[in-house]
Amino acid sequence: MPGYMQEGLPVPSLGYKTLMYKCNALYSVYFTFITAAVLHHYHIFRLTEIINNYGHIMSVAMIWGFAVSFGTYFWTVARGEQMRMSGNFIYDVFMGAALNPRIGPVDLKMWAEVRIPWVIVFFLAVSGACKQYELYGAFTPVCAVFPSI
Amino acid sequence: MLWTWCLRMGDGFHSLHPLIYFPLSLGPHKFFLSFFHFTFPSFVIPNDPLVHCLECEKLAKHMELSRKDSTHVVFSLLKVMDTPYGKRGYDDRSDQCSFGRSRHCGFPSSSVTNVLRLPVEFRHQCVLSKAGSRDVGVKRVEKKLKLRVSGHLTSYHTPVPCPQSRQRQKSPQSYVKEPPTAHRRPPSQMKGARPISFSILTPGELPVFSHLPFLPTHFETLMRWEFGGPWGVTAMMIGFPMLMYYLWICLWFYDGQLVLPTSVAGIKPFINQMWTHIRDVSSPPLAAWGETQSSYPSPFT
Repeated sequence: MPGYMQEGLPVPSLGYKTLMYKCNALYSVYFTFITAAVLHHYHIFRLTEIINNYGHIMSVAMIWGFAVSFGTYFWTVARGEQMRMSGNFIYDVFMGAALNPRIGPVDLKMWAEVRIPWVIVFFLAVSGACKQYELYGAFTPVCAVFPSI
Repeated sequence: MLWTWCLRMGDGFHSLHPLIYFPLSLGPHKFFLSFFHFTFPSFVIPNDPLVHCLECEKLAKHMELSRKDSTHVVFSLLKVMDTPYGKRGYDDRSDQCSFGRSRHCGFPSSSVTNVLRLPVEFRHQCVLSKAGSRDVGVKRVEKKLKLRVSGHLTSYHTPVPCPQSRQRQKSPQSYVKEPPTAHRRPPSQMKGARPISFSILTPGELPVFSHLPFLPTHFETLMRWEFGGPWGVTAMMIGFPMLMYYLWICLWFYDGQLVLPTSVAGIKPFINQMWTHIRDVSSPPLAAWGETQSSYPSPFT
């Protein structure tokens, strides 16, 4: 997705180098919406699948989240790039060892903090609304609250 | 909590520090710090040259005023480095720049504490001014530091090159903000200022000061447990998934009611029941192997 290239603040640990950030969240989220709408419309992936498989998705998300956390930690320690470590293993895993973990141009912290959870929350709400609409032919106003926010 | 919040407020909160910081600082070693806070006026001298000049000017004015009431002024100039944002002090141990600011120090930014808490290699330009006659506090500090009085400070803006400082990559010259020429004189030469004698410290002169018992080092103050330390963190990593599962079970199997064991004897069956729900319904391999939602109960059907 295209986006504005924004230079970050100088990072002292990198000798005051700045990191580039690609700000393409708006395009990405519209692209995601359109894709979801198309998949829903052509019955390739109904949005109601999300709420139907809520337990599964939640379990996978937890496992995946822990895997990413521990993986990032071990990867950072293996590369010797850890910073401000306390010496306590579980605390360091929780607080994070790497300062700017990246996969290619993707900043993992930003990605995991913004691009994943908010999209999930949004589609959960939309999925619940769709489910209500399928079952009852209408949805309660509550379902419209979160997507509108 | 309040302590952390106090620090986070940074310089904007600074004028209230003596009032709020004192009751918070009744720890054995912190008592001395609060003493310093009452004794000396607190000056923050950021190493940004522009701000620095203004601060120096303010300092000069303050000295003028303070000759009457014999207030002592102690401040520090840190190792100054070229950064893309101008000249900044840099502390290797904590990986923070702008040491002179309280939110980076992790400590209220009394200049005295800043001087005292500097690592040795950053104390190369500590300046103590004796603005009044009642400079007992400064003298006490000087005595501890074994200061060498080496004359008048000539310039604030051309730092003495520190032999121990690490050579850093220099940024393009255009990024470096130069102070305006109107402020390019030390406060002692500013209009209305009176001559003040200074003590200038050189790097080797303060070898043991960071080991004073009542002053925590920069690292110690900066390094504090957050989120309840290791135990709190572990509890969060275990408890939040459990909470997620619990709420999901309540929604999925109990029509949104919060289920609880009714008696002490019912706790164990309750937990077993919870585990059964999780194991049977939400285990991901079922979904991965093509099981559909029709094979297990759903609140929607």
